[in-house]
Amino acid sequence: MSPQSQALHPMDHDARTGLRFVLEMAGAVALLAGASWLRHLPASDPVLRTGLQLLPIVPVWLILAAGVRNYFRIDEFQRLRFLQAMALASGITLCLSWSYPFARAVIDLPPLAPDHSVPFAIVFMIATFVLNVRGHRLL
Amino acid sequence: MKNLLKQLRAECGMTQSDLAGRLNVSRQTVNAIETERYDPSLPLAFAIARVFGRKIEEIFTDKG
Repeated sequence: MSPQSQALHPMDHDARTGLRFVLEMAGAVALLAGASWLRHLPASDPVLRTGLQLLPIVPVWLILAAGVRNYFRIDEFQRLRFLQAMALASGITLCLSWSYPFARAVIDLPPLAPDHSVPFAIVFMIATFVLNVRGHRLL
Repeated sequence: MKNLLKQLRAECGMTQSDLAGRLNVSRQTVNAIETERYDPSLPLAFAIARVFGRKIEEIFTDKG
């Protein structure tokens, strides 16, 4: 889009970047769901079976690609907020996973899942929200 | 840093969205700069100065 047309449609920046990210992420997640479903199909050929088992790896990395592409589309302030949220979420998730065994020794808690991606995603969303609302006072 | 962004924008009759469009950034970024929650990078500060036809130091000043 030329600078002139951007000036004519000044409100499009957020909507445009947001829409692209949502579409790309939704596409990757849909592919992941499809590939995960295909894994369970019976396949007698060992090569095909191996291929189906490995198929979900592709959309998993497409999710990262969608995130990276979005990072390069957003502006500098949004990048700063994103990186702050990533750093905060990483630190909090790490501390939670370290704290959990100590708490589990005292309280009857279920064992911690080895996959930390879901807790990280939840903490990341909370960190993003908190930074957007109170970031200027916290950091 | 202090800045005169809000004042200059008002003088030009621009909304935050208008300015954001001119700078190719989000409206939240313009808002964060105006409310002094975010200091822009030098390239963005130069772009802001170009939009208003001013020098950077006329728009941004040190708080101290």
